[in-house]
Amino acid sequence: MIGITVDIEDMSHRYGDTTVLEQLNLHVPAGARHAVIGANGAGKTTLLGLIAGTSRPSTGSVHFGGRDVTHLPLHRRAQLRMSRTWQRPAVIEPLTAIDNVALALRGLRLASARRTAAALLAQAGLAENAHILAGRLPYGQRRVLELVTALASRPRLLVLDEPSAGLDDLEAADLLQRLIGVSDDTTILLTDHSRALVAAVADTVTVLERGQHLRTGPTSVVLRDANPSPATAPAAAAPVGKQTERNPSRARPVLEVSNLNSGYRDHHVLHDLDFTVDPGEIVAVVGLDGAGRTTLVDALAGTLPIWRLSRIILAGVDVTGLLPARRARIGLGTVPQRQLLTPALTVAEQLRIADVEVNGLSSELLALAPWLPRRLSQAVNTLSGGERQILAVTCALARQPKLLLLDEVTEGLATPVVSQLSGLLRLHAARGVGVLVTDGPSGHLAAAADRVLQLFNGHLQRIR
Amino acid sequence: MAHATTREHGAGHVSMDPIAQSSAVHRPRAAHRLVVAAALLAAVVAPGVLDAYTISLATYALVLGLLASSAYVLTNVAGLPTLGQGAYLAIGGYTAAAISHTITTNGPAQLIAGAAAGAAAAAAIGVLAARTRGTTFLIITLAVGALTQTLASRAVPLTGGDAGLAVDPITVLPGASLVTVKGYLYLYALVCTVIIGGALTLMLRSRFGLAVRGIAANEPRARADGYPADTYLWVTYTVAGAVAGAAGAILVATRHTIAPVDGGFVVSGLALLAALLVTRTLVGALLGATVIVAVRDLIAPNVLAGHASALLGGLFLAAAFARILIRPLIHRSEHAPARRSP
Repeated sequence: MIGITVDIEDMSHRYGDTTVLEQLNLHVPAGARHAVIGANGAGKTTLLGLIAGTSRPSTGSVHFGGRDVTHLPLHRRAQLRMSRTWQRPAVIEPLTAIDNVALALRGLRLASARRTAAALLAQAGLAENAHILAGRLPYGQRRVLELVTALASRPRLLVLDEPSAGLDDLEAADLLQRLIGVSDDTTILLTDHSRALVAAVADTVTVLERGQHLRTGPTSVVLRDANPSPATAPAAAAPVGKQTERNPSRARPVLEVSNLNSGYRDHHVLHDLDFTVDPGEIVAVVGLDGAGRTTLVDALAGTLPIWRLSRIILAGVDVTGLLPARRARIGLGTVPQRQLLTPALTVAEQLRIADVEVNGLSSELLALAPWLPRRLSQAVNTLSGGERQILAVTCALARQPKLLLLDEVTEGLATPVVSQLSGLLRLHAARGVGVLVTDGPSGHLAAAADRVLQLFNGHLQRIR
Repeated sequence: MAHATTREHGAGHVSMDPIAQSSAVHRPRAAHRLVVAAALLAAVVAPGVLDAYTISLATYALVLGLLASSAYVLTNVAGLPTLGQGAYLAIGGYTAAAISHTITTNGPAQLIAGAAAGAAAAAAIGVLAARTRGTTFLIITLAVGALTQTLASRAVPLTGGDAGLAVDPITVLPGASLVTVKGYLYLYALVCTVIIGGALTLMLRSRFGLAVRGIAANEPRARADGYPADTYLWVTYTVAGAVAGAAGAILVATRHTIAPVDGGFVVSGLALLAALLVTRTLVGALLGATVIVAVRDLIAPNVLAGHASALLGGLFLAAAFARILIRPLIHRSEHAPARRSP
């Protein structure tokens, strides 16, 4: 099963004389995460309602997976495996949480639907309150219940109207985790005022203004260009402004880490690390083998779970607990020690899945890897270790990250290439990219860094 | 601040203690079972201890109880307040009478015919009625009730007009003798009531019943879960019509007469009040009907002769006020710190 595409053609909607949406065209591919943003009254909720079938458009059409659903009512669209949530969590208050979810599991007999519902609620952390009437749940739990209900039928399209409305920071972070965890078999369409949520969840964004389509594009681009008006300005953006006021000469660090604790099941590796990386700064973390350098990179990249109270803020967005792909979207470029390349692919395919255009590679990157254009059809696993390393760095840099995270990247590289790489990092740093590298205590990159932190017994110490 | 406001709006009263909640849920369930068992026992032994007049009142209480059950399903479960269920009682009753005159004296056959006629009429009217909600629905049911009563008065060749129809006693089994003893008729009505009540209970506990509750409480959510609200409410309206029709057939079988006033506005109103009087459950509807019949026909003539309506009015007011007065007490006990079980 895969998500369904949503196509909106020439859709307009009027309430009486007021036009709330005008001539909207939108294509949302299968499995996409698409956000609709805009100030209050831009027509976001109206658009979502028209897509979900809560209301009908005055003109135009809606297609799900190529099928015209313009005239299908809400329940018929739900039967096509579309789920939706509302700005105020819509739960059935006189029924227990379990029955709320069981109702959404239409294909099952009631008894087994209830068992499945109990399991789903337990997974969502609502086991204790599963038998409580939904009307008596605290607001945040109702929100969770509504989302569990909406996801219970494994929808192919999930429409979320302001899912973070009314949630506190912890609840919003929890919501984010749940949304990020939604299978790619589900197309997600959402609107939310939290820029952080939109940035972390959505791949693409449509901006509406007074019912007019302003633009649609990749989230990072649209959010960067968007003027954060008070209505669209998220909570996460607010501290940036405050900090700039206090300290106008200094930009906010691109990476802020506090209380970082991580490790493996019974092995606590990192203890309460606090550090920052500024834009344009190259910070090296050195340490002996086993000091926890790779653990640190994995924790920052999101491939290793972090422990309570840890907090990672990337480019002003709290990415604590976000999946690696989301962090990448927010601006983290990672070259892990265990390369993320796919051996069976060709170089060209590898670049394509990394979303890198060969023709768009900068001359500096081509200077680092002059062989690249000639060997596009070669399989990655036939490249040398150093070439693979270079390819991984190229992929990471070509996506113009805000923070570049390199783990033991010089391993297996020839000295001239290392100096070349070092120069390249400096060049990107000069453009405002923050760089965090791990290296041996006497490594090349450490020597070229602005600041060197030593990791010892899981604690960080500045040594230069 | 906006944040806090949203929260207050959304949360309502929240008791955070799950154990307090679950025990609060379980206690009434046990009490409810006890009430059902006691009521059933009392109903079964009643013919042995009560005089013939009281038995005939108890029989009518069962008929009104079934009508109240149909009003309960619509009003309390589906969220559609009705003042017209008497119409379907009349349709079921006249159908049973027609069957008795033309085809068979078999009671169960008349019952099935009455229920089917009630269902068919409700299904036809429900096509429009079940698309409406709230007061619009209430007014439609009121109109249906008034119209049916008027038709019953005017269609003299079919219904005997305001004087009504006299109907022969029923047989229960083919070839068996006619049942005329009041105690047996009462037991026939009791068995029918228990079977219909049991079937309704099963329906309400099924996914269908759950979905109807969901539609009543939050229609957009239920529709987003994939339930066609209008269709589900139409089915519910049809089932309620069948139950009311069955009540009409039982009335004819046990009282041997049917007249337009038997399905009139007053009866519809009493059925709705019975559904709301005691507790908001199916058994509550049956008990409510019993209380109403007892107050109107047993207590009022002895205490306040000629003022039965006043006494009933007082009863309804008292029940309403008691609800208002008791609610804060219930809330307080629910919010009181609960003893933690291990």
